Amino acid sequence: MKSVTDKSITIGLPRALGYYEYLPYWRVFFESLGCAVVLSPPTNKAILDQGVRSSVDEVCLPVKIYYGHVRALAGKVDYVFLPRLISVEEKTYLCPKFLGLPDMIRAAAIMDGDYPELLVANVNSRLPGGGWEQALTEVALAIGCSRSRIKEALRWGKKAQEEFENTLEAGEYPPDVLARWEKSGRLLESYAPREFTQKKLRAKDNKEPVIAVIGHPYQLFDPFTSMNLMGRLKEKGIKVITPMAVTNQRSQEATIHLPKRIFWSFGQKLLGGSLHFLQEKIDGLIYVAAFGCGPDSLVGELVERYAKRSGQVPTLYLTIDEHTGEAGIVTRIEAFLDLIERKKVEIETENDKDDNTVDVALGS
Amino acid sequence: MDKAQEGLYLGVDVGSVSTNLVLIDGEGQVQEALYLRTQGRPLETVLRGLQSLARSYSNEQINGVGTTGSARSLAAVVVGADVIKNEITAHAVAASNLVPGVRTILEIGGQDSKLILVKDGIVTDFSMNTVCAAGTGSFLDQQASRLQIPIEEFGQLAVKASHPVRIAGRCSVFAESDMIHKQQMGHSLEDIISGLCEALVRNFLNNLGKGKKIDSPIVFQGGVAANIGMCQAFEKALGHPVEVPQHHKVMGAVGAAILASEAVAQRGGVSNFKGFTVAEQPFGARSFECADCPNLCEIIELQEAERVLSRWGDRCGKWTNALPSEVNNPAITAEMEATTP
Repeated sequence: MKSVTDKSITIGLPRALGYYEYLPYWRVFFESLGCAVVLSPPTNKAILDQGVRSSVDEVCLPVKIYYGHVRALAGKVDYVFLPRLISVEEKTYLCPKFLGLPDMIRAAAIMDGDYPELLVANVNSRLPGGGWEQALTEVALAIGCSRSRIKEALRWGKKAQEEFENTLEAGEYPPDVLARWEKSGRLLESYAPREFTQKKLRAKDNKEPVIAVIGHPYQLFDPFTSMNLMGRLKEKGIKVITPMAVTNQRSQEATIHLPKRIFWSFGQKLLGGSLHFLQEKIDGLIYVAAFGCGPDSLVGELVERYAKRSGQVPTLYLTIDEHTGEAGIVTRIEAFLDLIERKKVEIETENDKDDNTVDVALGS
Repeated sequence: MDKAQEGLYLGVDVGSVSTNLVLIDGEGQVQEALYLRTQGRPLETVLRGLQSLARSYSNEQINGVGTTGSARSLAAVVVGADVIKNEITAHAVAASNLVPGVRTILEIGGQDSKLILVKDGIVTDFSMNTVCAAGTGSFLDQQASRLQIPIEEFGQLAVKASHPVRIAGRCSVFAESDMIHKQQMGHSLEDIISGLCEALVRNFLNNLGKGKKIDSPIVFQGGVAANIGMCQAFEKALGHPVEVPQHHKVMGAVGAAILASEAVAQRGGVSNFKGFTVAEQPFGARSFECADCPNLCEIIELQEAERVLSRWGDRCGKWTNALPSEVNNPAITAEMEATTP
């Protein structure tokens, strides 16, 4: 096995799944160890086709794409970092496809060959001391790093991740934040957390419509998989907010009244985020479900029902798979924006008549 | 040029099965409606429609143009549209104008079906069939030709049924085999056709109406609304009368025309309409695969007499942006960008 003592090791990070949530942590950790980090290219048709060809049929589109990204790193890196995400928070699990991801990729590698070597470690917060630190330490030891060096790298990595999450929770547009972390040389900058001014979200004061887009980060922020949904909304002058901007605490508070705890961490994030946004003033809610995603089929349904029950927020449910026609998605988005635009105009005219009738107009 | 009315608006709806052109006056009343079969040639069909309108109308009578339907972008480039709208909004606008107070719109076209809920003239919710086209016009078309019955008589036969047979309507392939089976069992044609209509309505309501409150007045439009058997099946399933507007086949085009009149009024009366003479121009469309990156986008190029009018289909915008800017009509460019990945 190649180790850090053999000059530089190159670690590949597939631009899929956990990437959209942990890029700063991973990148800074490996770079602090003295490794070079290489990202797979943004999803393109070749990556998608490769993924669809090698993957098992039952998985969701984002997992299929993950295969393509791993394969795209073949020959370009020494190892691909592939954590097995079992549990990232106490009392929660990730979906079974995350649990089986390393095994599925290994199986594909045996069938197809030409896959890069994998660095696998379990992330299981349900075990004492079994979280990210444990997993990253494990892989760093495997490539021959010293304990003291790992400790230092973890410190930097955690700091980076913290800053990343703070920025998102302050409401910054996630692709912009990710783009900063995709550029190299991050480590040379200081990590002093910035002061953020919490801007309370209030659609009725804003001129542009505010739409909450709910979905897995790895689907929303991959313009290829989401058919550039975020870009399309931004182009139309929509202010987009996502569950990435909702703190865990807010998300928990929003779901406290549910009869049962959601034990998927993504599910909690999406449902908690949605219910939180439904209490705020938003003009619309779009749920983007990945076809074949088990949790989405339940969580999406819950979100839709709660949104309907609130009776004020128009919702659009989009399911996307590798066969989804562009035209159908575009037509739905356009019609949905028309709906929101017309409703907003009506509410504003009502408001002009009488400033105190906001709630009445919304409830009509 | 025998019809001398001024201030008309043209609406063009290019769908998978039919291409519709309508002219409305300033009051939103339909003056002329053309219903043409697209027959897989959207470009030629639009030109054919324009030619036939040119026989009775002059360019000066047209104040504005709107396009809708799945080929709305293509049609917009050809005619010089003032507004390009999705079918859902266009249908809702038309129904609200022609049937004031409408609450629910059922629309079944060639390959799309839509359920649109409206309140006070504003769309509150909608749904549209996803990948499955079971229950849309093209399936009925296909079954009519299999049974060798003109599609126009399909509905009449359904009404004559005494005991509609239960047909599995979840999937059009299975529906067909089920129909064949029921024929072989000896059920009458009328009962089978009526059963088919009921199955399609069931499918529509299960797919699109799930969890939605369907209030009266209900309007049924789109090409399939001509089928009286489908209307009856909807009335039976919903327990409310279902109204079919006079121009039900061309409601999308009516909506586009109404939206064009709004858009032109907003812009101070200036229209992009290129005139009926475009129908004489030799238009041509070609497509090619761009091999510059792994995305392999299919680029479509529309030409008018050797001059490239418009391009779309590229994710990166390289081909779209390579056109001289005066070619691009701002309304169309915006729409192209929106429909391009």
